[in-house]
Amino acid sequence: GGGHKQNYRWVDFVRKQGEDGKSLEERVEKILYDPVRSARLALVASGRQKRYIIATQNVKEGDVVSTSTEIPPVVVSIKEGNAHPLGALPVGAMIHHVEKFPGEGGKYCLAAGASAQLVKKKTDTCIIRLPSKQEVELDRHCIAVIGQVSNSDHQDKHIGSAWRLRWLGFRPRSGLKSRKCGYDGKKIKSSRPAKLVTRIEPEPKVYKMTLDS
Amino acid sequence: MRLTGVLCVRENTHYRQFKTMWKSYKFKEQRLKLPLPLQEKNVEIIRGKDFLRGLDTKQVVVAAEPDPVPTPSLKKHPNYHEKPALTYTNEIQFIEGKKQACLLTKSREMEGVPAGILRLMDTLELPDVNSTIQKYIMNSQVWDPTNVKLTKRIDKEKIGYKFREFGIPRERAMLNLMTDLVRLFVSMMNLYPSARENRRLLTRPFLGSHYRYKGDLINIRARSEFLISSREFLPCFADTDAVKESVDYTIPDMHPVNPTIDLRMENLYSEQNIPAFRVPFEFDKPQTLFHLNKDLSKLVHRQNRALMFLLGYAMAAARRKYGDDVTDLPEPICVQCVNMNEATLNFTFFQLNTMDFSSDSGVKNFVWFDSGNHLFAKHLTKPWLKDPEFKINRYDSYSEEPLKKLLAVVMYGLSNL
Repeated sequence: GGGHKQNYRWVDFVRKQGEDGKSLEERVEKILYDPVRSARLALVASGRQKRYIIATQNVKEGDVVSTSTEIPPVVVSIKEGNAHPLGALPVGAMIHHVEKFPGEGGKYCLAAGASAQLVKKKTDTCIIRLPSKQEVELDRHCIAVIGQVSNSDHQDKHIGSAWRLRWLGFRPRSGLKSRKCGYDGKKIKSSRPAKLVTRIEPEPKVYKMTLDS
Repeated sequence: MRLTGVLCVRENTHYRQFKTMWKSYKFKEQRLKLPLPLQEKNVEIIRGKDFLRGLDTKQVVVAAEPDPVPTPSLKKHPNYHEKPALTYTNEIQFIEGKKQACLLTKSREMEGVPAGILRLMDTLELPDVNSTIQKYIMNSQVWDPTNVKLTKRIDKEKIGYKFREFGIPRERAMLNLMTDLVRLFVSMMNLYPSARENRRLLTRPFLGSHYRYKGDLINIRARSEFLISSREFLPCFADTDAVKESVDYTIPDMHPVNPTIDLRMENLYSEQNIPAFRVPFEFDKPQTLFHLNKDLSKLVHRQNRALMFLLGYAMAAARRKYGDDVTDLPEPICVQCVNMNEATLNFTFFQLNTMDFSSDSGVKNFVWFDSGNHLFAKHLTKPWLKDPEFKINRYDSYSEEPLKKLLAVVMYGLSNL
């Protein structure tokens, strides 16, 4: 517990198309630090609207970033920062900020340097491999952003002192120097089949009522 | 009969015995005796019970609560409009900087300083005012008697050091220096009879002006410190040939962002037409504006603010002279602004050539920016260091170059020069 006080920045996780029906083009005005997450934020403006989104690696100030929700018959060309549905992307593309259900906002791969890979495309669904090597089957209309999440050197940085860990809100840890006994360590398992992501609606409860005259 | 405090407080009563007697109902009420003076005066005496029986409690009427006043709805206000208008005020900062300001004012940025002012800088001689100006600086920064707790500051060389300082607030120091400078230079200007007859100095002018940018109404509200206004406009900074050449110039675009992105939207508004003085006024042509940069914004934002205020003043003056619906001006209108920090002077010069903001093509307006004229340098204290020179604020690198420019700006347009 503890740590330095942090102010929350309202980030928009939903990438929508423009109201005309055409793709929405936005210009990156600033890349900002966010104390709440490891990734960086991008201040993005279009028309009379400004908002914060998760920044992509290699996207600089002045770049124009677009989103579209259409799936054309031909696969789309790759440009970092652009958002497209999974059905429009080529197999093998590096993506992040992937939605679980279409229109609900990005859920997968939001941490610094994270990226998923598009593995297979079927008629209605697409399979992606997450950073934990787990495979997940999603609707092909779910939107994903091309590229890697910003701040990819986050893991390589050395914290340096115990004070800095406390500023980040981590209490002292113990048990790190205990010896390993052979039961620890990552075990190599065979890959499981891809998990289909669906929403199970609960069955409506049925109450039986009787009338006694 | 009720057991009251009055009963208990009687002569020669013992409290514990009184309670036991009370419980056993052996207590008899004593008859009240009237005091003798009252009996002699024949005063009307009524028993309490009879008095209370005579009162009709049902006659007491409680005032009814008034009906709650309904809150007025925003849409019934006479100034309410469905389509919002945009306003520009002191605090607004542009996200794209100069590009956005030039697009909103449809102006072309010219290099350096206008030729007329450069000529005046070469011909005019600044009298020996160095000692007086250094006294003004010391007055504003050191000798002023206010001693107030200053706002906390963060020094990048020692992050985490807790400052606890007392002294003169920034705004007060800036205002004192500006009033002294304006007084000195305007008195130098008033040595010429044409200035005495034709120009006046106004304090704390408030401007409310408006214009239409591509169908949107933009209101400008400007609060500044001083304004020099006169019977005539300033002579033009650029000639008619340059104005005609500006048709070929294209202002850099900021697609996909709209230039009006940072302006505030309001539904309650009216077309602002508040000049800085009471109309009709003989000296209603604004010439030089003096503005204080009280906020800690960057240099770019200060110059953009000066440009928008100058546009507001120029549009209002053009409407007063040529009417409300004019788009092509027979003669351009020129205004200039001096905006000041504690130690630096920035100059902005604006020439209004058109009032047609419906598209980005056609004749353009002109703007000159001259920034970074440092009068002196202020070094703040560093109390964590041991040397005594870091224990007090230091003022050095005084230069009189900005004063020569200020003299030329104030004297520009006088007929004798």
